[in-house]
Amino acid sequence: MTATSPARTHGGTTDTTPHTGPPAAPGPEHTGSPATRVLGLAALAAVALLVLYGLVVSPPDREMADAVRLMYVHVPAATLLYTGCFFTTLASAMWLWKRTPGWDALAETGAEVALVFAVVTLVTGSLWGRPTWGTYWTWDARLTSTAVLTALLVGYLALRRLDLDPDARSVRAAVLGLLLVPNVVVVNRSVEWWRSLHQGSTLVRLDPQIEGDMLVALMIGFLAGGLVFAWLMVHRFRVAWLAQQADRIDLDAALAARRAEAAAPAERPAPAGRPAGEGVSPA
Amino acid sequence: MTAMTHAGYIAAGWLGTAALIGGYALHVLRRGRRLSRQVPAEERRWS
Repeated sequence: MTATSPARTHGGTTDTTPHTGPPAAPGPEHTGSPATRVLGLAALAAVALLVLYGLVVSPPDREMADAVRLMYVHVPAATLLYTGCFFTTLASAMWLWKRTPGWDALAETGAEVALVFAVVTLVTGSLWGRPTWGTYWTWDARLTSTAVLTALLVGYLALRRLDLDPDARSVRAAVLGLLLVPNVVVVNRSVEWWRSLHQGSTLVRLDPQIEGDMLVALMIGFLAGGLVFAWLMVHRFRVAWLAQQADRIDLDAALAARRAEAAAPAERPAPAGRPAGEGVSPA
Repeated sequence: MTAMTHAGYIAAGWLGTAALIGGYALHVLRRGRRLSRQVPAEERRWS
């Protein structure tokens, strides 16, 4: 409320006295801000460009034909799955070291957003595998290790929802969170460590196996995915922050109620013959 | 212009991705609005 904002009513009279001192700056009743609005618009524009390049401009592949268009979603999604896991492991380590609530919120945020991209990776990978390999799923090293990483993320988020002491829960979640990046390394290197049906790296090598409009479409896929990821991370982090504050407010209210209860004089049982309810303090 | 091969797989992959990420984004926004009403304004520092 600002100094000149709505008049206040006290006992039927209206108080129109201007207030002095700095105006209180009310926060928005949502997780958006001017920066996230710009980020969201940029993400939408990049997604529109990706649709144009990925589905119209880029040519079919010589071997995979049009199925290659799934790559423009699948590969960026896998990369963002790794990025979310990286955020969680980093924030878990920082939380164990610093014990500040922001790191705990970031760890939870990274894992949840990573899980969304893990599902996208698995679904688009299966849909790409059917026309390319002839099967939706095979117990290949890359696919299996990605499924294990996804299960680890589900376990991590389930652990965070357990009804435990908040600090103990955060410690256990942080220990599990530390395992995510080593798992990502296993997923990423699996195509080299074991015989795999999955193709190896396409971009991260000295002679990239992709060029021209296909390379441009894939780069736009990374850009669009990255912007969507950033937008989701910011909003989800703010939700985690709000959840922490709401929990703290609930805890403070419960403690205040307990203290008030302890400070009140001890209740004596009502003498026999008095009407029920008399002498009983309100709840 | 030739017909796109594997159109069903491509449509399922792209539309499924859009639905999943869009649905998750809506869920996050709604949860943020709900929690914002429970927390004092000074704790919502991103205005």
